[in-house]
Amino acid sequence: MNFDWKTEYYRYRRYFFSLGKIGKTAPVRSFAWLSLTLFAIAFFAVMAIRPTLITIAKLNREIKDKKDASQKLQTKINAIVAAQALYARNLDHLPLLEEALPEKSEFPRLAFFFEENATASNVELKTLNFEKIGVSEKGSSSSSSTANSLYFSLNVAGDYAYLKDFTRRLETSRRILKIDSAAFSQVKKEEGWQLTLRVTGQASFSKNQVEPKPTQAPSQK
Amino acid sequence: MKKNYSQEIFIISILTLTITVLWVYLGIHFALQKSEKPALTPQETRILNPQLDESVFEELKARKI
Repeated sequence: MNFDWKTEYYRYRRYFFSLGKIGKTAPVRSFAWLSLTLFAIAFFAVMAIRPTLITIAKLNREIKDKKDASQKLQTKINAIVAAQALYARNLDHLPLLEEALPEKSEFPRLAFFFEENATASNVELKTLNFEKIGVSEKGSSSSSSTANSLYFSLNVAGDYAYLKDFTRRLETSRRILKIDSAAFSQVKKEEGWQLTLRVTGQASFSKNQVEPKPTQAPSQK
Repeated sequence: MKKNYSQEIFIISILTLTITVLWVYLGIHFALQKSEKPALTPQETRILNPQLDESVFEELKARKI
């Protein structure tokens, strides 16, 4: 197939020459420039304006979050300063708390306390038992209620008034004691009947004390 | 019938600009809404209550050792 460019040129020459005239008309030029402007705006909006505005929005959001966090931290700081002042004011009272709720079980001190009170109340301390301490493993489900308690049981003998006084001393002790039960009973002796009181309860301490072997104090008879 | 291509291009450019503006608006809106991660953990924001019942000490003093 022969391609004669001269023949083709003469055929389509009028279109090439009229293209320039079309482009020079006012409506076409207006629409063309307006379209070009809108495309340029859209292009820069996508490529430049959008990332910039998003960055500004993120920074504004971050500033707002940081201001909120700063306010919360300031509130916390104020609370800590107030607590520090309170702690400094009550520093002398901390031994009282240590006596009321010691960190460890402190069962020797507790045993001494029972003996001392029995002597002061004029009753005879027959038996004193301390049961298991910290038997539950760390992280076990039942550790929260039982791991911080030292169970004890004691038997005292004496007159009713003295036993009552002994019980009152236990109830008003500085060490936190929870008396689970108190039971009176009478024992036949050679010289007559003797009134005994059996008390079971728990002494609290603050930290979990997990020991490999349960501690049991020797009975005092 | 003679087509006016310049008008069609103009309409397309208006649509393009509208979609672009909408896209930019949505981008800004979502950037303002979401926070990538909280500035503070709940542990850090937990406020210590500095209230203390100081009468407890007097009660403890009144109790015997």
